[in-house]
Amino acid sequence: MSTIAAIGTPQGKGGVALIRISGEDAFSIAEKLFIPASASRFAQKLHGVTYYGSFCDESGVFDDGMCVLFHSPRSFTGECVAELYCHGGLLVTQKLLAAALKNGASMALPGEFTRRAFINGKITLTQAEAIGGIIDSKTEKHLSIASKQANGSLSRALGEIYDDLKLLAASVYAYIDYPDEDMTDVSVPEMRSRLVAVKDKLNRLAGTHTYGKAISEGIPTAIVGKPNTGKSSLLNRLCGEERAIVTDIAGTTRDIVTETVRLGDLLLRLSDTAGIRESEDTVEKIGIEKSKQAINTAELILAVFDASRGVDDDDNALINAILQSNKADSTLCIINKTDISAEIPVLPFKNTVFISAKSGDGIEDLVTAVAQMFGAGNINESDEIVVNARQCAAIVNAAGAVESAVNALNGFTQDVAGMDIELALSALAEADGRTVSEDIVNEIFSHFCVGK
Amino acid sequence: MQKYVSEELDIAVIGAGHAGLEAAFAAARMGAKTALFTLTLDLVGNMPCNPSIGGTGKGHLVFEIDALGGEMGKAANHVMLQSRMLNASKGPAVRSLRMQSDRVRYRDYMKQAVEATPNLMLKQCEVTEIVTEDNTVKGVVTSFGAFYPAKCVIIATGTSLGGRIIVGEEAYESGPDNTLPANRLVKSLQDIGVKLVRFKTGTPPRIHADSIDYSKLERQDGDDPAVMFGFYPSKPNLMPCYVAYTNQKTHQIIRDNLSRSPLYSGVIHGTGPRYCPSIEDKVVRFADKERHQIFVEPMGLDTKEVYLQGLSSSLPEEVQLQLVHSIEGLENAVFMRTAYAIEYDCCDPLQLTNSLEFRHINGLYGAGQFNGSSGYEEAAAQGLIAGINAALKVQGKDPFVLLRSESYIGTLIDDLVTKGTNEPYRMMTSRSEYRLLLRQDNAQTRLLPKGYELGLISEERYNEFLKTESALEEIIYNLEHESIKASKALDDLYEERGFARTGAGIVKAEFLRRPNIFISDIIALSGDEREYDDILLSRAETEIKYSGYIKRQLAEVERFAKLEEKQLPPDIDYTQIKGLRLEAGQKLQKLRPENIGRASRISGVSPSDISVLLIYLSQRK
Repeated sequence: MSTIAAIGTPQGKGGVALIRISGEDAFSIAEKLFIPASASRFAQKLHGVTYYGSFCDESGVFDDGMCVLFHSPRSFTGECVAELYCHGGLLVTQKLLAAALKNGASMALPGEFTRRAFINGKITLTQAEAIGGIIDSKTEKHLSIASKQANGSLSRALGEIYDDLKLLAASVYAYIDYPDEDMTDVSVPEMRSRLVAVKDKLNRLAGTHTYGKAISEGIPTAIVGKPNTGKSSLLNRLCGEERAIVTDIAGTTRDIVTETVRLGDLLLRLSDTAGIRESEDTVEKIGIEKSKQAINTAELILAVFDASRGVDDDDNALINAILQSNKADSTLCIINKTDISAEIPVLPFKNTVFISAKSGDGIEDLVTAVAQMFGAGNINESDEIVVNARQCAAIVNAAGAVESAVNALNGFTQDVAGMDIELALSALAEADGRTVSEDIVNEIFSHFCVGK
Repeated sequence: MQKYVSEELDIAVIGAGHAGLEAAFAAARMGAKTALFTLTLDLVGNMPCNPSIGGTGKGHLVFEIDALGGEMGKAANHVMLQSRMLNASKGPAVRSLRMQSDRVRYRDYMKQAVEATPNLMLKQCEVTEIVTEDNTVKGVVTSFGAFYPAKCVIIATGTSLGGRIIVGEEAYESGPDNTLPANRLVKSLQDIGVKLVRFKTGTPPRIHADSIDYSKLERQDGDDPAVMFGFYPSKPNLMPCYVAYTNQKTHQIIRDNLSRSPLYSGVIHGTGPRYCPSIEDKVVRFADKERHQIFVEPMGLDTKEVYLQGLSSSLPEEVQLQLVHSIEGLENAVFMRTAYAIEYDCCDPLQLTNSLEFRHINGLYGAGQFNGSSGYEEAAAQGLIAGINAALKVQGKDPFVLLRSESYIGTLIDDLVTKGTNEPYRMMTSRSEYRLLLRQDNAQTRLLPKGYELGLISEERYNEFLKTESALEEIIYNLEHESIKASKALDDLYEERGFARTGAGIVKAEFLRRPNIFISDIIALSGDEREYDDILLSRAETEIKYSGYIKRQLAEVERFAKLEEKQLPPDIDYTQIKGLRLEAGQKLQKLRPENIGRASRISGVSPSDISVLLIYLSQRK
């Protein structure tokens, strides 16, 4: 494999920037661009020691900084790695990278460092994905889960289930292959109860994905309500005043389509916020048809009602739209303006909060209610949370296979139960990257940014 | 030492055990001039261990051998004492036939069959040397100085090669049942570059039937009607087996004398089979078991000898006596043969190709225990394949290789030559990833046409087979197209089996796919009075009932075939591929698998190594 290099810190001005070089020639390339302050000390090339010196290219010295060498396999990628720390200017960083490329390194592809770490057996696939999660994380919670998993916590949890299943498969086969030996018999009821326990574990893990997705990718959310119920104030309360806007995907004009805001540990992806902002002024623009569209595509509907005005035909039309779309369970009913009126309309939603968007009263309840709707209540601090859709799909497949093994024991025979357990094993192995095809590997690492 | 040149052969087979016999039959029947060499003519097809053929996974092998025109199944049927279908309730994939066999009559049957086979000579002598030239086999030399020129040589030496029997502190050079050991051949094999390893196996005591108190044992009868290998017409069971149990006292005797067991005192160096452990192994490894089962099996109609399956041991004879006498019903057992362990030389099967030919010696084949396997059936299966391939080689044709996805035989051989083995390899149903496709009941469908093509199945048997197949198709077609009418009886049955009453009729096949519904229910409900063959009915039941799983396995087969298609170029330097773990790189470098599929089955090559290989291949393009 070739030696690769990339800038490891964000582009732009900063105190310090990092150029990382990995591969067979990493040290010799570093030697060509780094002039150590003490040549004799640097000549020892000790693992993990920081050497001070200056950086140069063919036109001469252009910066000073530090160089750290990591010997294979004791590095992140498992290869020889040189890390060069220069000053964080755009020009100087580019110059240093150019020098590395000129001296034989090739430009790293996105995620190539992590990919090499994976194929050199330094990290499992779940760890690699967790590293991607650390880079991408926008909420504290996501960051803390990702860093925990980068250390292998999910891999271990999956590994335990994997071992359980392997043991079960072994018992099934021992039972079949040694019909004469009473010492290997596992009774069918025992097998069944152990399988059910594994299935429950898997379902529980898969169940955390709703929450995991809510903290990592965000929940597609629609704020709906008739004019002047306070949607705009709510929006401002959620993003404006708390200054929690994370991305402006479509730009800064009035065409804004989506804003991602933080709500406690979760992320909300608000659609059509431009429409909401305008609607306070131009009442007629937000018709019920438009609301219906928003309701259909959203996974969370924040339906705002005005406590001071009671329920009218417009409200009823909205309620019907929600019920018809089968979204009542995904709806949080928000009774606003409790600062003006205490009148409490009775509405057909099981999730309801009372707030005053203006004063901020009840916003905490709203945060809690949304978190509960997305599974926070079912998750303990120590639980593994599946944030990654690929892992979740594999875990769901494994759970399905275990379920079908249980069914096979009920109506069919042990031999097919054994097949189902093997299927579950391979699904789990895939979740954790124990077996992976080239396609999956490429797919995963293509999402990384350069330098990781 | 060569003194004269004897007859010129196409194929020389060394050893007339279960591997050598099938090899010789196949080769001779395919037209090759074949000689079968054995140390003693009186032990052709000997069963030095258990007097039975078949068992889990092994029964599958015998059905497959039979479908390819082998002799083992026919011989076992001929001398059957009792037949039992193991795992009958555990599913169609794992049903395995086991037959108690008359050991003496089995030998007679086999010897007569050899004598009656054209192109096949049976010779009593010791082969002491394999002659090669430019890494090509030229023939064999016997202890009497005869040189037999041969195009191919098949080694099937079993436990005779460098054999050594151990009983407690006593040890001596010997083949099984105190026959001559083949010692001189060891050196010849080493001289031509065959890598040998040392394995160990063992056998339990044989006792006199009249010294057993059968009233204290559990009687175990055969199935009625008895199923035969190859589904030949059923025969009556002739003798029962019995079950005895060890107890705490037995275990204490063993523990007290462990230091006298050569296994634990270090006298035995060979690696024994994990799957067929000695009683001392079982007591040590499963210390919390209160008792172990012992099967008391008759050895034949004309003998009082009785075999104690489960009591394999290498303890001193006096300790063996004590421990057998501690077992209820065997208190007064009189020993006829003492249990012994036997060490022997065999080859590292990684040296072989899937046709069982040595990679580095043209025309030299290995079969049976010599290839590191254990068991009569495993031996016979390899013998058959080695014999077929040697005959094809003589004819100048391509090798005959069975795939894992089409047979247990293919799985057995692929495991041996791809993964190698560090203990005697025993076939088990769990070794096959395509279990549901590889059943005993469809062995003929899978393999008989191949046997016919090879010339090992007669025209008559082939036509009979075609008739059976079309009868099966008709049954399945009818089940898929006929319905059971709505009736109270149908609804009652639904209710009885845990379903809701429907008040409606149902297509028979659809009904059969439900759990806990069987073909007998369908026949009863529809008042079907057609004459059916029970075996075909049960096959049809399996094909329909398990069709979902069968489809899934077929998809697996296809996926597997794709991996087999991804070729690994022969010039790859695996030590230079970055990312391969050291062990994987070394293994691949040594074994040089032809494709990714085979690479993935090599022990020490992990799935992530396979990912690295796939990525490497895509970058190489």
